[in-house]
Amino acid sequence: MNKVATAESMDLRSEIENFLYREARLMDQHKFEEWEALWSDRAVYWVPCAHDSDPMTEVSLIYANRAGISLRLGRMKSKAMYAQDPRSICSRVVGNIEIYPRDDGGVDTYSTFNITEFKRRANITRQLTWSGHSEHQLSRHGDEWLMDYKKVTLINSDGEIPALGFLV
Amino acid sequence: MLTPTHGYTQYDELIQEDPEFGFRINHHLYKDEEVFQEEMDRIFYKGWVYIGHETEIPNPNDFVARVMGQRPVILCRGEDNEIRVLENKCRHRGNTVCQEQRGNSKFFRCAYHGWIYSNTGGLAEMTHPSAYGERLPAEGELDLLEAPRIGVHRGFIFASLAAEGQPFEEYLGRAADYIDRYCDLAPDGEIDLSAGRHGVSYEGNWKMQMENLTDAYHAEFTHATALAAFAANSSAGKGKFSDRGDLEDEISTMRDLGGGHVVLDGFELNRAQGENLQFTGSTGTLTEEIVGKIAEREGSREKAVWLTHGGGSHITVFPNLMILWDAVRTIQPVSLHKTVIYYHPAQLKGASQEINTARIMAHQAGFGPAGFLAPDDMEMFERTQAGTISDTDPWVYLNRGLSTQRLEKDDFGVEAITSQYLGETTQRGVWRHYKKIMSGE
Ligand code: FES
Ligand SMILES: [Fe+2]
Repeated sequence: MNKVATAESMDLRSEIENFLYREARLMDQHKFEEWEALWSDRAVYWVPCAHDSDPMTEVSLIYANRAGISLRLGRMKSKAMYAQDPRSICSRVVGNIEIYPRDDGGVDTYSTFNITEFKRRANITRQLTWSGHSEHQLSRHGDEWLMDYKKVTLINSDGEIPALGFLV
Repeated sequence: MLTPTHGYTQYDELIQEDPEFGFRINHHLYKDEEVFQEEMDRIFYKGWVYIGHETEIPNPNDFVARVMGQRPVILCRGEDNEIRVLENKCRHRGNTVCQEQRGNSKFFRCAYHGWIYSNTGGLAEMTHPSAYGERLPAEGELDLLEAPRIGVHRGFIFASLAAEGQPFEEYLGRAADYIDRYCDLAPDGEIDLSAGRHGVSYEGNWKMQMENLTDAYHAEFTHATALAAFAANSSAGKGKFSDRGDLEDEISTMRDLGGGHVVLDGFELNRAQGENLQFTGSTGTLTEEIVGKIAEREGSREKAVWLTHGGGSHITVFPNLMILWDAVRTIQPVSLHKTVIYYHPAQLKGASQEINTARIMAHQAGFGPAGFLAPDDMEMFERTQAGTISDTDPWVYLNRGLSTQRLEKDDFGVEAITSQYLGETTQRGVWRHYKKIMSGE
């Protein structure tokens, strides 16, 4: 894998990095519609619970197709999703981005994230950190990249974790 | 082994019933450290608590790590195939001996000085015993401590750390009928809890969840977005909420079964919907397979349909087991202000993988840390806890349905205190029993 970088591969890298950074910002800013537009119709969005689990026979935190993603976002857009009322203030760093071009013109990526979440309620404030890694499968549609598949593995996914009400 | 009972708190002052004001509880019950410690002792160490399910440890030498009250324990099936609950604490200096959440092992080895215990609890090997000289402990003296009483009902394992006390069958009481009906929904008559679990934590007292499972009143408000999302999910056909809503609210009933066990009974609702209901708990698309298989087992289609009518009921078994739709839930008090809820999807033995996968999907759409329902409940528990700081009026009145509740036969033909869905009969049922236990009666 230690190939010499070419101008072409550097272009691809910056395109994909930009995609992942932009996705991170949309999630931080709760831009649900713009984030939804990053998905292709083949969408599979998976946040496993146990490591190495099979989503068909074991419980996950999230396992959604395109329709399931829409349903989830529809609820998140509402002010009456009380777990996010008011919405968390999030700041995340995406890094360690590895990019693997596929023969079909798409790319697979592996990246890590650290998210700091701040919540304020009547008489309490809480600051939480979340971290893990993401695996994306992206494909090119015209001049834009879309997500066909995204798997997010939290480091504590099989532990005891508080309500996860923002996008990861 | 047990902490002494202090008897500092006067529970009849904190939970009161009177013709003048009805039924009220004091919110110090949610925020006093002394109350929490007394609960650990009287409810979690002296009483019966749910600890796990047989299908989590199906084979000899299987174990899962659990916490009973605040004490780490190991629920294991010994090499002799016996189920035991062992204290996860070395008898030398007190180290925990098992660090894995689950596994299969004949032995638990304490890393500190290398003592080895068998999974039947016995001290199998003490390193360098000669240093004890004449004070070498007798055989059996330093075995892992074991819960002296275990009770199993339809695979649900309960334990008590007290050698004596209320017999298991008496403790389980009428909750047994509802657990049976839930298990009978599986074609083979057994549920399977081996499909993993969700753990959700919240910053609030454990009793918030204990009261909430049978609080039908909150759903319309707290879960408005989830109900709307499920109703909109037409592609899921008869999804969890697609044909519920007002109907459920109007004809579901709250029942106090005694012993702190309460149920939000969905029987009437399900009956009103006929056979094409969410009888597996919530996945309505695969009706015929289940009804057919149960009818074959029971030799009666009528009985099969009767069983499926229990599908949506919410069952709370005092103090820490809850059964609802596609999952079995447990409450784990962590500290006065922190609680973890574990959700185990319940697979139906003898049903197709298609049904069981649908159950997993239906469960995780609603529950776990990123579900459509659970996070909003946790939010409410945290807000309630935050509100208990204000002491101007510490009383919570639970008078809804008090004047209209009545003794009524449930679907098993047994009388229970019953009110319609907006009543607080179930909360009163839990608190009345709690008061009895906490007052040492
Ligand atoms: S503490 Fe366990 S062997 Fe010493
Ligand atoms: Fe709820």
